[in-house]
Amino acid sequence: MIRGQLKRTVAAILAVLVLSAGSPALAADSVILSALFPGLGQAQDGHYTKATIFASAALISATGLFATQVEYARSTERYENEKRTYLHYQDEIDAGQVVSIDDVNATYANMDAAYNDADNDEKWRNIFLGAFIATWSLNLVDILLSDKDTGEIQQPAEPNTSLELNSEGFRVVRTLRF
Amino acid sequence: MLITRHQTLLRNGALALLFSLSALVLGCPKHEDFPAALDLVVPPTPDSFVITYDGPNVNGGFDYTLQWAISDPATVDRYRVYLIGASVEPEMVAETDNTQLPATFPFRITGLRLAVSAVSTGNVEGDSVEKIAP
Repeated sequence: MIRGQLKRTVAAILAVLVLSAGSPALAADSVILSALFPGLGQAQDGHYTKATIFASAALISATGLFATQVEYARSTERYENEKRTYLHYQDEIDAGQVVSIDDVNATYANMDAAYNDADNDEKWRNIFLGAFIATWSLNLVDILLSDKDTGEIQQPAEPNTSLELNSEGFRVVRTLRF
Repeated sequence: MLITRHQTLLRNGALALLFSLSALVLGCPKHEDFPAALDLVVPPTPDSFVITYDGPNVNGGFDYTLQWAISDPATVDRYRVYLIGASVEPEMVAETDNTQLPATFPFRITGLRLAVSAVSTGNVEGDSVEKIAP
């Protein structure tokens, strides 16, 4: 149930992203770019250091997520196969066939080991998934709060009080701005 | 703002990556529902297994008598006797309801192993006990 809702939510987010990315008016927007992949919007805005950090973190966590997800899928498949074999023993018994207790115990041990492996792989998958989501979220917060880097250098403000020297001595000038 | 080809490529690549990861994470089955252990009637393992060589018979075969004991006969439906070492896999040579079995082999089985196991009333075959033939 929760899994179905999660799928629908992700599908909706992806649909919005696709529509947004396809729109010429929004395609160049740095927020959309960052929503698609961390660091892209920052690079567009000229914040190259932050872009590198976000993109690297996202790439590392995405690679880890991919690798651990593949491993998790593999151990889940192994567990499902062992479970199917184990439960099939009951069908054989019900059909009047003799099953060996050694085979049943060995299959149970394999199924238990495969379940533990899948548990462990799921934990690592979730760690990388969390890292990717955290990177993505931080990147979005950053792009929403940051200003665009225009390359303009801010001039230091003129001092309000200055000292002017002349032949008669000196003069203190106080400037007031309104 | 001008959208360059490079930006479009980046955008599409990022979108593809996001799609792939989402599909991979959400599309794969989870490991769940660890099944309850099967309700099996496990028979006891036979013990005191003895193989006696009775000598050759008039038909040219070699007679043996196999005997064993069982701790809880109530759960046992029958016994299975295996010859081990004559082929790659143990070969079932007989099934019997008794704890004694006269057997005739076409050759002396000296050095080969015989094993006996019990099959429960719930169709589960238990552990076997082995003995080397005299």
